[in-house]
Amino acid sequence: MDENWASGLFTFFSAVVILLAGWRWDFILRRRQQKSETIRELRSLLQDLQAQAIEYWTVPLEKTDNHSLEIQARKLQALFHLLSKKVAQFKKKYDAGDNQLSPMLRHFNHIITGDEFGSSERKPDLDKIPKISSRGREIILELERLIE
Amino acid sequence: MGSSSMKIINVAREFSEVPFGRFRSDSRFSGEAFREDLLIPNLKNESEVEVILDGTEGYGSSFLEESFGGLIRHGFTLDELKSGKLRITANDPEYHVYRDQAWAYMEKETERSG
Repeated sequence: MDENWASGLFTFFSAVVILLAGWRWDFILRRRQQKSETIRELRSLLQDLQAQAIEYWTVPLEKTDNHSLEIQARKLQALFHLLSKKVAQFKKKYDAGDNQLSPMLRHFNHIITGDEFGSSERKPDLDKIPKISSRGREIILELERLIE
Repeated sequence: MGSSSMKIINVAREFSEVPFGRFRSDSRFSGEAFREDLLIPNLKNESEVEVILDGTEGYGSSFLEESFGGLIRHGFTLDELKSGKLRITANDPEYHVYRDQAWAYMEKETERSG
């Protein structure tokens, strides 16, 4: 009788341990998946922003018009704001307070929407191409580092 | 000397939800317009001015530089602005970047002109 009771108890606890381990494993996998999705979303947004910024800063004035240029500029400003919002959500979700993201975002916004940004007389600035590319890449690398 | 009151400027409510561009020739709601029509008159007439950045569709750096860096070019000093004369508030975290940029432009212009 006692032996059966002890065996039943052992089986019960074994089942509980297996269930808890499975739950924990599932939690880890889901969390990893969420992180990958977040990074994928941010990378896609950044790539879109980089492509539009490069187009904005390289198109010669004679190949565009004021109206198109202004639309492009306003889109860029709105896209950066969306990026800032997404990064703020990311920092809150992953408790990423102390990092290089804030100065990187500041610098990135300065490059893409500074100088003659928004002006109908803005001159193409090819020097911005490598800066836009490398600063965007640095932001992605920092995001990836923070959720490792 | 102005009164001892404090003026709160909510950019989205009192200026525009879509501030854009550096000069008036770029947009009605440019950095130049914000600085000349709201910031400077209030900084001259009030003892303290608080600028609330939240609620807009973001800020371009050219707007921020012209608005805030432009204050230094128009005779204000970083010391007087930092000592409480000017407060820049960003309650939502996505606006923190703009607040920090605004102060960075005032510092940069001070270094440049100094």
